[in-house]
Amino acid sequence: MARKMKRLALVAVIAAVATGFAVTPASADSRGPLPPEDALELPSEAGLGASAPEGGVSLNVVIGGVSGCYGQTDNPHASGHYIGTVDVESRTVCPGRTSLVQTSLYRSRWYGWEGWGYNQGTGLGSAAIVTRGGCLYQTTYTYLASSYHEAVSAGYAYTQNEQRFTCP
Amino acid sequence: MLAALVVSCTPATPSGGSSSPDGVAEPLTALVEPPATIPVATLRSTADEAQVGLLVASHWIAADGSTHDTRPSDEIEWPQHGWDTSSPGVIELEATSMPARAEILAYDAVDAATGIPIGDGVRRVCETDVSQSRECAVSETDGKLAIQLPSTIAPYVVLWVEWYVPTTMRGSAESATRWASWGFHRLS
Repeated sequence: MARKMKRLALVAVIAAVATGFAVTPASADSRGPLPPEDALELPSEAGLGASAPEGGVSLNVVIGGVSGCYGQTDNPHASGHYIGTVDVESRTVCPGRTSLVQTSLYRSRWYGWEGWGYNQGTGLGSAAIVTRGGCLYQTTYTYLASSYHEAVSAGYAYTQNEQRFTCP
Repeated sequence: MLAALVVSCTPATPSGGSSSPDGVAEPLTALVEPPATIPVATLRSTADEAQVGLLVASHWIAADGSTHDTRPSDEIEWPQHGWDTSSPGVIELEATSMPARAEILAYDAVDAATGIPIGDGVRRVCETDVSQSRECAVSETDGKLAIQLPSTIAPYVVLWVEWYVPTTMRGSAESATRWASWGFHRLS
């Protein structure tokens, strides 16, 4: 299968005693990693499975080491519903927690990646969005979808996926 | 109060999200404030040679949420001096915030009339806090970001760098990132 998938996760958790666990989402206050000896080891967790989306199955990435909390970005693809558009689905799932997903869609150019679409969504327990961009007839580009996932009191993660195709 | 910051960088696995191969969370830099303005990019090949990169394109979210885009001009005037042909060089960015994504594109030739590269070129994705690609790397040295170029590279080089902008710092902008690309040229 020619599909090329790249998946990376970045998960951050701040655990504080006294009032239980307080967890930081993405924050400008974060200044970097603690020394290894101060790092808390998280168990390996597998996120919940998801049904195969249009455009290809995507892997999920666990958020904050919390079971059932994950982010996904599917493959960008030529929409089967809207002629002339590139679609990519992405989602953040974290039962019982406010979830956020933000996806930037890019198109490959000689100077790097050109912004081609953006969308964001929030929801309680899950947030799922479709991000769209133009798909010009018979043009071939690589499209990159890069998502930021956040779940309140869980953490954050990045996922990304890219696909090269010719628009029908 | 005891607080611990744990960040892990997890490659994709067919079984879905998991921790690192050995199951141990790896310390990693968390989101930080991206550069406020588009950094200057300079290619240094020797102690005496420096080439200031040509800003080719950018997408920049200002603090007030406004977005400023720079598109490539119709005619690209590649830098002509400052890259010693005997050295691959290092590109320095006047920034300290680790980008989410950094890529190097290299081209053998450009259109004689427009200066726009011909062909797909060679793309290298750099290792960052977000990307685990090992094709190149971004490091912080002396208050600057440094991207070491490979020893063999085509003469027209583009560096594309993206920073994620935390939600609290982008106002109502319909975008989540700041990015810019710079062009460099090695005379053969």
